[in-house]
Amino acid sequence: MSEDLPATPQDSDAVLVQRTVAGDQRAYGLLVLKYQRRIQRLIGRMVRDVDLVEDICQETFIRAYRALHQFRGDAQFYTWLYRIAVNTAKKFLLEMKNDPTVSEGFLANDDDDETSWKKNEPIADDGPESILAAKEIAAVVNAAMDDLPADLRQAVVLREIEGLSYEEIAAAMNCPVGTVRSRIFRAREAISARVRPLLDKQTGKRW
Amino acid sequence: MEQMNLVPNECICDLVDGQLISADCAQAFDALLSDRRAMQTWHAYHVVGDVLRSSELAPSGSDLAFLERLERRLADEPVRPVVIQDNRVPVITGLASANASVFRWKMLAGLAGFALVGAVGLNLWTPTGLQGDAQIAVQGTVVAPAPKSLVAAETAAGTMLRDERLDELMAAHRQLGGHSALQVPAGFLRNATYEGAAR
Amino acid sequence: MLLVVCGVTAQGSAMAQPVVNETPLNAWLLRVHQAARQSVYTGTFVVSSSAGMASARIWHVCDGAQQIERVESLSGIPRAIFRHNDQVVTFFPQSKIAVAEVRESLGLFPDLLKSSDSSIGDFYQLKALGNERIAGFESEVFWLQPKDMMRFGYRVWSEKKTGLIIQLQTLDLKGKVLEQSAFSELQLGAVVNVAKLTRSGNTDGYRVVRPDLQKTTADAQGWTLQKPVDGFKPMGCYQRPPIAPQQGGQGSAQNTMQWVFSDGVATVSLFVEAFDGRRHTREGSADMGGATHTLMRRLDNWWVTAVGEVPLATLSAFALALERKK
Repeated sequence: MSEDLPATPQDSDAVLVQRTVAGDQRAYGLLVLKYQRRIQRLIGRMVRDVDLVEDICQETFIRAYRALHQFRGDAQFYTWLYRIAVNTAKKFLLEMKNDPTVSEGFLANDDDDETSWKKNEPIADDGPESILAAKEIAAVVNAAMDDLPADLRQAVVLREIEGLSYEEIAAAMNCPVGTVRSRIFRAREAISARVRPLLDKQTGKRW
Repeated sequence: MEQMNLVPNECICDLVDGQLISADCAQAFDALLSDRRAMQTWHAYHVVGDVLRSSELAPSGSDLAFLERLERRLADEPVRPVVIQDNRVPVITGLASANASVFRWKMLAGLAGFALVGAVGLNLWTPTGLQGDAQIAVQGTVVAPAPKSLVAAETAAGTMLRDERLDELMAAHRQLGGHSALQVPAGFLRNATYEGAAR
Repeated sequence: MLLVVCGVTAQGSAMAQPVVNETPLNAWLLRVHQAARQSVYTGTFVVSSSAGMASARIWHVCDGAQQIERVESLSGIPRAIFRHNDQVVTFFPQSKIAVAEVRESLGLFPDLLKSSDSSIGDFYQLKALGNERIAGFESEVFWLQPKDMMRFGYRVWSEKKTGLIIQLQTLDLKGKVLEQSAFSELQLGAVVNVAKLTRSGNTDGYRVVRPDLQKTTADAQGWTLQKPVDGFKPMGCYQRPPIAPQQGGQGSAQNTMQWVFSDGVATVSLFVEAFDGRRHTREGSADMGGATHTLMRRLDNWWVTAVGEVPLATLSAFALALERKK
């Protein structure tokens, strides 16, 4: 089955949502693999117990799955998922505390800035091994970036950090779109080659 | 050296960015979904992107194990009713338990909680959606060509056509409908939980 | 942290009687009505029907005559409703809009009972169904049974000590549940930080919108009911301003009149606007699930929409009785 897939990231989320609603749960897996780390970080800011963070995260994705048929493609999937995560976490917190005091205000998390979280919020403490594993992965990514040729590094920075489209990157780097695509691919390959062994170690076995 | 992927990594790369350049990649989603190894690549590329944006997003445990656990739970989820376009609306009567104190809407798949959407004309139910003690009487209405202000919306019951003007009037009705003993807190809260759609 | 406790009314203590088949209806209605106003509670509220489910968190405190309430949606468009007596503000954080309005209908119920031609008992009767534990509270279950086919029945779970309604089912003419509203969890007499709750009504950072609702009379608008609908009394008439078209909708070019009726338990609104052939194309009813029904009808150069938690026959009666004054 061939489809014309649109060029913006939002729309590829929408395609995955559509496929899930049409009955393909595996498509949902791709969305989970894409967003779980952001959701875990979000919940980790609200909840201290790391096991609970994992449970709430699972619950969030279950609830989102159940409500997926209502997701209208005109909004960002992540925004919608975000709200479900916040509500799920609050519900868990209320149940646990059984404390009728007023919630922190349901506006509190709406201006979460992902790339630069300014406040000093406590983050769920995984325990030394997990923290070490995460730090290792971050270190490896940074090292791999340093080792990249400048043009590959620039292309992947413009894409991943600045969020530019291929066309915009082509204009910024004064090269054809095909070259942009190739550079981003080679950059990702180089970095993930170094990260994969660490990811595999976390999983424990070939998945 | 890894075995050759069913899906070239270049295509996965394109999918990560929502780009589809070549005809080969048009089938990439299908292939990606049936290839666990390709999904690992998808995962790795996204980890790279996340970590570049913030080191806090580096996974501290196995993301793939998380997904596996989730998939086991999703396998238990009920299959969502299939939407069938049917202009005939069935009138279904059943047995109401006179002392029913717990009322369950069994056709709703879970307690995610979702916006109540008004619908005009088409109530779409499938027989598989109605079970057990939660039998529902459905009123048939005449279906006429849809006026312009109808919007298709997804609800648990399937696709419903939603009349925005009617939503506005219903909200207005609820706003001023507090003249009843039963309206507080049930009525006011009921109104409050429904509101918002028409604004 | 403030502990706010509101005294149980004399009505409340008078109701501590053994369960009987027929309870004085008006006293019972007043009790459940007052309980909601004068108790302090917090909980999660869920409304469910064939059309779907919606839920919210609620905090309610009172201090003698003053009430403060906050309702936060847990489903649908994110919104929070803050109420101080009859001043209501609805916050929409996504658009940073706050809609401020006065809902004078709240609190009118006792006046309804006091009026000399109050006749709720002609149209409803109360039957006690026994006791049941629900959401962690001992409650008495009642059946508010309509005496005719013009209104719905209700099954009511009322908390024993205060009378607060914990669960409410709206029953259609066959006794089937159309809609259920209930606390899925509830803390009565909760300890609530009133100062913090009050502060949550602050509109800083929001664009405040005040919908322009003019109080008027049906008479002044040129309308009358040629024949009243059994049990329903007019509660008020309002004029709503024209609505700008939104997102594919067409809005309305003219004012819309809203004429509100109640039988003490159910409410009906009659909306009348100028007929517009492009928008007003479907007469008849629309079933959206739940207890609220609608009926649309053209009346000469006007378009009438009747909305209410009543059977269709009742909406029909209203729509047919409405006529232009001569």
